[in-house]
Amino acid sequence: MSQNNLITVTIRSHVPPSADVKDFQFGKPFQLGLEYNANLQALLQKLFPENIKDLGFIAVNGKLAARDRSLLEGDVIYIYSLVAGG
Amino acid sequence: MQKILRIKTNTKAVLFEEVKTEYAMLGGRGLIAKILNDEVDPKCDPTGPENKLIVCGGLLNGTMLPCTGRLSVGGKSPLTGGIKEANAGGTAGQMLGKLDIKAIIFENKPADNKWSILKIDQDKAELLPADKYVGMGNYALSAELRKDFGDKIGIVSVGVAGERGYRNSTLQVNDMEGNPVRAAARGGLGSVLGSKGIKAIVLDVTGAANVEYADKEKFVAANKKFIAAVKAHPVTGGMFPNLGTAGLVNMINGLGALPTNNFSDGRWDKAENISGEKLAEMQSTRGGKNGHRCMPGCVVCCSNVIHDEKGNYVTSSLEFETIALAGSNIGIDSLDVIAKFDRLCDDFGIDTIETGGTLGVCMEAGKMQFGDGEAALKLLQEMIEGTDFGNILGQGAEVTGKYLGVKRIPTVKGQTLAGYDPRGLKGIGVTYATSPMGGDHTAGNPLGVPTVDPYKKEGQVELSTQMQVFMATCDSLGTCMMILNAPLGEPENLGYFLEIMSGKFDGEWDPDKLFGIGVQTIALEKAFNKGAGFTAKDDKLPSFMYTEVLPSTGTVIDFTEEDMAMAIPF
Ligand code: SF4
Repeated sequence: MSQNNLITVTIRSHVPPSADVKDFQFGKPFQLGLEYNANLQALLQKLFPENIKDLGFIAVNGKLAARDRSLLEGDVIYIYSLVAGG
Repeated sequence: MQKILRIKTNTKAVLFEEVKTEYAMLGGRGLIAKILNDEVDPKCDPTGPENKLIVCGGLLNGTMLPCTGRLSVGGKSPLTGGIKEANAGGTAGQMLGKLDIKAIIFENKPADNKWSILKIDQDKAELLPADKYVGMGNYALSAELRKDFGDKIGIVSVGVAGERGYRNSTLQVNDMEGNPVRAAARGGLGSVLGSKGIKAIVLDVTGAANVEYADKEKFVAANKKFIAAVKAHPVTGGMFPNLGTAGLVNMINGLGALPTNNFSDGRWDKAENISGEKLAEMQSTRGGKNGHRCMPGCVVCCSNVIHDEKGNYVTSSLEFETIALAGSNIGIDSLDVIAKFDRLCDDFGIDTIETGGTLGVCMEAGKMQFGDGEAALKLLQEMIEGTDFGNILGQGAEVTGKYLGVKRIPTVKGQTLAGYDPRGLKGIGVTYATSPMGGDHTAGNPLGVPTVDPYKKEGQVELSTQMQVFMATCDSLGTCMMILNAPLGEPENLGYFLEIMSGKFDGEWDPDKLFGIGVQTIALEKAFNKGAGFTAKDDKLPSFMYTEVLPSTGTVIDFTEEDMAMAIPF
């Protein structure tokens, strides 16, 4: 696949991915290259194959996002666990 | 053998009583609800002699289960006019367990109008004159009491706000460092203890609690497995120790439910400046701390210690609710200003949520501009100084809003809503409206359940009911919700917890029996509120939320009175 077919998104996750993600640090931003036109659900399945059930709200660019949302170059994705307020 | 300590403040009598058999399986919020139903006329004046202030630990207090030493306080609330239980971490709850005291009941009013402190150690309980402590803020009071009675004491105190009868006043509990920073904040219960002429409760005890277990081996084995699950969970082992509850700022902003400019929006472009991530970054260079524990033995450590830019201690713990109500809700994007606000509130003894809501309606009325941190701290100072307007502010957001002619007042049953706009998280709207506690997120926060759309009303009544029962159970066990909420979602962990209950109390425990504790508690609370004159018509959200679209989500509140009546049907 050519470079043109890749997009780069920034991810900040409060759930540790069950897949091996280089340089993952809890809640710290990291970048990931994805195929053009990847959607959120595909990304989540890739990162959390074993623990996708732990995920709660996902926000893209600061807004609650549906799981079938297509991802675009430069998107910032926040991944939260199931949580109760404090 | 556990006992009840009854303080007759009119005669200064201090009496130990046996625990009634029917109270044996009650603790914390459940015990408070039972005693209030048994002993207090629900129609009474909350700061009059007929109301009582109850202080107690939960059913599991003193056991080896971590995060289980929360101190519950309760009475008829001067803010809501209904029953109220508020609880706090810190050191005093566990100490009450070590002293084998199931509950302290303060009743009547001092005939001589004199202030006292209640001092309890292993040998005796006594009322001591408090003249030298009256008028002190909680920080100075805590330092003075530690000087007088030693630095290992546990303290529960009221600030000047509680002395003055402010309806937003708290009871403050000291943390492990001795700072008076853990607040039983909601409902104005500080003014109820103040009305009894009690400035502080001083607990002086060391060693372990003398707890009986039906099967200690079973308890220990299940406890070990449960702790391992808590540490491995992404919320209790990850988000909370790393970011504290402040980690919720970006999440709730992303959801579009972050109260902004007196609940006029749910998403704020400056939220990042007050986020948990930003707070952690600031603290890393200032010597402050995340991952702090408020009580011995906590394994989650959601608390923090906040330092200023010079590295000096300011406050502890800066929580999401405070950041939301004193940050985005009043347009302030400086964590340093919010930290100062928190410190002033803890010291004066007032609820940060109620105070943030009060400043929000002042800004709406044009008393100052949204975002003007200096003006916000000045208004707070008016309350502290007790100016005429300050005395109005001390009655909370609803009284202040009405006084200023504001139409958009974010309260339910007289109490300010917490850090979640219910139009963007409808389940919490059901909790705010229907809980016997008034607008209070700690009564059941259905946050982060992906199967129920937060913007739609479908499924929210059931979800809120489930969460309200869950929280009433936690509050009756005396266990911090942080340790139970997320982990108990997993059937395996729930199994360990049922084993813990069986190891402590004997018999078979299933989910119905465990959560039956919460059902019974809520039923008692509803009975009290009915006696106080509340009806289904009171179970509603602020009227502007039914008509005014929340820009961040495009939603309004669409629950009918009939929908609300389906919640907590006990
Ligand atoms: S989790 Fe937080 S509130 Fe609960 S006991 Fe620990 S520090 Fe205190």
